Amino acid sequence: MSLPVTDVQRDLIDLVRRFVSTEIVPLEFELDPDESELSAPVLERLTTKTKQMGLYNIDVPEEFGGAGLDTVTRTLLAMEMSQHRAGLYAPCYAAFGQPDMGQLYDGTDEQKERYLYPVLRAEKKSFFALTEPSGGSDPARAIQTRAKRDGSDWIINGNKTFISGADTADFGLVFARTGDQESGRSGITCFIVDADTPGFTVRRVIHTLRSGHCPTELTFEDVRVPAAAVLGEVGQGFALATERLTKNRIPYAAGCLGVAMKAHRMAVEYAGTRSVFGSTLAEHEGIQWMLVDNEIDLRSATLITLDAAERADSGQPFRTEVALAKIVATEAAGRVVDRAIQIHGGYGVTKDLPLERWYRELRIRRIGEGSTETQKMIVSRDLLRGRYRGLLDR
Amino acid sequence: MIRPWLPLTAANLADVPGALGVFEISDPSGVIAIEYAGGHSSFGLRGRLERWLDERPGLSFRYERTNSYLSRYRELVRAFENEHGEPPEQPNRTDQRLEGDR
Repeated sequence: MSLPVTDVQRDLIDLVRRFVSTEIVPLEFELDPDESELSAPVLERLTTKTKQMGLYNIDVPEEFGGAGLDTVTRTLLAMEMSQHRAGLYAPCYAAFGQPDMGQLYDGTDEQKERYLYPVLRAEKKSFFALTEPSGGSDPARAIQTRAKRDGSDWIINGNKTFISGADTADFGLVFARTGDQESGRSGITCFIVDADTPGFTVRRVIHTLRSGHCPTELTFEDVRVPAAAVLGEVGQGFALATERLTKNRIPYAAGCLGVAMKAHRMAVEYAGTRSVFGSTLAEHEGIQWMLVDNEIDLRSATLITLDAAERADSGQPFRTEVALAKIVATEAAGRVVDRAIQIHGGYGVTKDLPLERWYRELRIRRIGEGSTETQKMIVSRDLLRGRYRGLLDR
Repeated sequence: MIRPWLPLTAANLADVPGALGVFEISDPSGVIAIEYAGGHSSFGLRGRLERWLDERPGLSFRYERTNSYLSRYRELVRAFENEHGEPPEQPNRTDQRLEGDR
């Protein structure tokens, strides 16, 4: 385990930090406090700058024109990019590119031309439809959406829920069962479905703690797609889904920590200036202990998250490390922001400060991308089946 | 939105809460604006609706309190677009994403 930050990484951190403080934070004085989107001209102005920085499409491999960063560097930058009001779910309002649709890199040349490249050029939007009303934590068993062959076509029927961005997307990756219900993960196939395909309906928006965001419910009624819509191999869709989910959990965890770092810094600053009972808050032991608990949470979670990132870069199995990072980062960040609110008192729960938004959105983070309990199952499986090696034994 | 339409008058606005939420404005031709009272709005729904008082005679309004004002707002605009093929004309509104909601 070696986690020193290199000079190059330090330069990139400084670059992104400056971008956040000079380009993003000033915008947020004017935006609604729950906003997650920028108007097209403002976003274009920002992406021009990130392209000049060489960091546009930050999650995209170099051969596809992206920044091609290693996971540790990407994780460090994720901690910087989230340090503003909308930063948890909309880091820098997507000025560094849209979320990765990595599955499309494995598509056919025709699929890349039609879907991948337009996404990379920000000309098309996509959605990722895995979760169903029957459950999201165990998709191998929960998926009931079915795709049946009809000649060379496939007919899809079923429902999806909590699907982000489907109401504005041009197409989506839809995971459907092509084997029988007992086939588990080997019976799931990924299809690319155009949003204007007859039978595809965005049934409703689901309103959640995130006001600026619209997860949706989808219905597929006899949605006919050609054989060319299959992404990857028939029956191999589950591997496509989990590969993305596992690696995405590292920047996902790092984003939580960035927000918590910012909240902690705000709490330290406020504690040093706010007077109460004849002294500053910082002079009261109760406040000092809260700040120390924040520091412990942040340092431990940061190290565990960077360890997962380094493990991913090493080419060795990293599922357990990622699960641990996802647990500690989301849980610790929630505690840190909660304490920061407590230190700020009444101001902490107003929309004048970003803390209340982070508090709401961090609550979702303990569920999204695999709940804390699901991650614990992953870790415990490895512990109990003898595959896991402790930190000092790796 | 299930609340009834009310004439846009000072008396009717006096009963509107200063809370977060969404609202619609209509004239005899139908809905002409969909807006929200967001986190920066002074006096919430009531404050935002008061901006419409002197716009023109014969307007009506209806509103809905919700903390999910942005996602609900986008849902209402999308539903309107699906029905009419284009967004409402929004004569009294600048781009809230640029101008904030003060």
